[in-house]
Amino acid sequence: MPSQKTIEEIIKKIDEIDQKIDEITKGVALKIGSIARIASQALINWNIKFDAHPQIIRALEDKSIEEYEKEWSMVNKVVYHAIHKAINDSNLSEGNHQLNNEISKMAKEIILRKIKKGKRVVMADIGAGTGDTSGTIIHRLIMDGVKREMLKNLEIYFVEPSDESIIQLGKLMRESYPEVKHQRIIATDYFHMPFLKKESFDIIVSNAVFHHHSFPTYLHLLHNALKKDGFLIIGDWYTEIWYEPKNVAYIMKEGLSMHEEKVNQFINLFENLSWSKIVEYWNNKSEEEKRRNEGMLLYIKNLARRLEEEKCCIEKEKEGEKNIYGLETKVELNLLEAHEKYEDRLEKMKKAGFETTAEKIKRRYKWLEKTPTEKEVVAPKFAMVTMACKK
Amino acid sequence: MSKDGKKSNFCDNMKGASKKIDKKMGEVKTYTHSYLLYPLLLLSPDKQGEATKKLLTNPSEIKAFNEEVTKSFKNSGLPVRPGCLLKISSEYYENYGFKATKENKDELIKELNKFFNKDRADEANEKTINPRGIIVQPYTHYANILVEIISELTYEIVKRKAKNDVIKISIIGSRDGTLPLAIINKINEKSGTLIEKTQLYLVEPYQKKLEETINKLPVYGIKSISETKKWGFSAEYKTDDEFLATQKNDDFDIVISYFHMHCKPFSDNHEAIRRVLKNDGLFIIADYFSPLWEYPSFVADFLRTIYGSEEIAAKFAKNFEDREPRVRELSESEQYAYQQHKDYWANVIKELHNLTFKDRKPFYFLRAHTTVQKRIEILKNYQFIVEEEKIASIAKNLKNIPNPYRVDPKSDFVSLIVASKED
Repeated sequence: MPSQKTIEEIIKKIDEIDQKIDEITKGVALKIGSIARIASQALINWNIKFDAHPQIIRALEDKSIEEYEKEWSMVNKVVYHAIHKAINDSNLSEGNHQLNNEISKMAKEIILRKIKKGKRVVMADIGAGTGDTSGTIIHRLIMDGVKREMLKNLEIYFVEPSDESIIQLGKLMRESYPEVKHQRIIATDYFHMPFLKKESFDIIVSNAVFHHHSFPTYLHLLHNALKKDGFLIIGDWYTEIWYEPKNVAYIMKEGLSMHEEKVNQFINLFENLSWSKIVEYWNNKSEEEKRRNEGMLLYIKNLARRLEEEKCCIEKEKEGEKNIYGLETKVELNLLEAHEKYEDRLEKMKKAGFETTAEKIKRRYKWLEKTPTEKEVVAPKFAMVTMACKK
Repeated sequence: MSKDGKKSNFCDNMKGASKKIDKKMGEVKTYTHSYLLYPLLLLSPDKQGEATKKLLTNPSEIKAFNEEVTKSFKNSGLPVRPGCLLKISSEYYENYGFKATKENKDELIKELNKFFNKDRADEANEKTINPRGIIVQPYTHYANILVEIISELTYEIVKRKAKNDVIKISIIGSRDGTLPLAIINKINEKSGTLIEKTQLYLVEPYQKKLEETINKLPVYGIKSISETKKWGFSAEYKTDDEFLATQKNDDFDIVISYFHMHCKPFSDNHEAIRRVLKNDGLFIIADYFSPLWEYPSFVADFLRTIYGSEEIAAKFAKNFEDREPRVRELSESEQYAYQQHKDYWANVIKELHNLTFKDRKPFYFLRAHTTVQKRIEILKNYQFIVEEEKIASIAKNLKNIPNPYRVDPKSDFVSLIVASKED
């Protein structure tokens, strides 16, 4: 059993590194953020060593959620618009659109099978945004001949941290699909959601959300919440870019155009790191990984630019005394998130009790014969949709 | 007619609805969901008075009149204003007291282009924004549905015709590339090789948006026609008229107008589109359809709603007192479109308040929206037909889609029309 002191020491180490990084990136709109946010398997590369004891994991997970919620409090409307613009600038909006499409195709097959027989289908949409994923699923059902009357058998639980998005989502459901029963839950931490009861869901979908979660606990919770014949469909962006401080140093220089002095200060936080090693590391990757990294770098460049633009506009408006944003409008965002390699996510899913192998899924569910259980969009292993069932 | 058989004045109903909302919500500056409170407004026109003033046809007089109306909003401090009256559909000019004729048309178009060029420059310099960039549900979802349907239709036609020919497709208003990318993905997904039998002409006068689209295309493995000499994309940094003027007769299999027709007060491009289309070619229009700008009293109602101010509504309406004819009766789908259009704008305005601009300019809302029925009439005038079974006949998995297709079956607002050349 780890002592409280051990746990506190680990958290303290994270805080120390975070503080030092924060000092280095003071004054810029796009900061590095907390290393507690990165995928847990990569913490070792950031000099955070820990035993995989449940209490330690829980403490680190709580820390990660705390940082995630801090980040959400920074995402005001101005920041949200900068993100939205950067996503459009960087090709990612088309990627999200495709992810939605592929998720909806898989989900439709699963729901259709039950709903056409008049059975009740319960779905969760985790990180539902303004409802595009579920809206597309429902629309596909209608296109496939599901009558409006039959949609009464569909019940959806939406979980979304943004109150603005959930208002839009409610409007979409009310006006377009009023037959579908739904509940909307505003939350960043869905771990403790009372609705995630044992074996209560036929299907759980999620698009571009799980890269916010450092630890795989959510996978175990979702596994528990799924019925025996339930399915999980995840769409997400995959990259190992946050795994190494070397990558972040490269991004600081090439993506954020930070001053060499700041980049060196960052490099000096870690032993045996030098700029030449960083460049060599960045360039010596597989073609696939390079494509993923270039995709992320493009997004980061655009995001940094858009945030600085927003900052300038607000400062200008304040000077001109228009001040419609109010004096407190900050334009800040953190970079580090829990993106991971696709293979690492699959491994976590398997450990949580999910089956992801196409052959095994189709052997068990023969009616999925013609349905792909895995789909790649945009670039290899960069944006993927994965279907999984319980083992 | 109302349920009790009494006729009621549309404008009074609009005023009544707005007042109730004002009372309910206090100082209402934005309009929220009131059409849900009043799902079917009683729209039976009984407008007092007729248009007594003669229709203006002299272009100088029309320009002067327009300037007089727009001047009344200058220095008003209002973030959202009507703007140039000429931007509404020319089909409705007479409702505003002027008329397009063969003699004055060129002059009016020249005047219009001045405003359109300024709009484009302001958007390029981020002094204003195209509201399509703002997410407003459920309309964003509806637009995505149309993208999916158009992609499916396009794929089916490419599949059918690719044996003999390269398929030429033009997308007018390609904007940020959502539609062309969706089409490319659909073709690639269903048959990787068919993309090499496809030529996509992306027509977009906003250069920055076109460049953004071009930057995205290589990721999908699509090359330029100049590179392959046979298939791929061509980026046409032009207006639709400029592009169509350079194209041969009977050359295109599909011309798609993607949320673009509401920027075209004159429908002359229909003639050019008909000319460039093959005999079995299709003209596909996806757009926001609505009667909201059909009459000045509708515009006044809109202003009243968004600003919660009789004074501002009257400021606009008074210009047309003796010019506006009797308001016609709107069909149910037009009424819903009217309300949804207002709702859309109310949400856009809320968001505009939260956006930053390098040098904020007012937003001018008047555009050339028409109803679905009006667009079909216009198409017929240019020898196009709109067959009910057309979409279903092209794609098996779209067999439940009628033509025209109203995404919300109650409402015109987000709709798709597939037109073919009349024999």
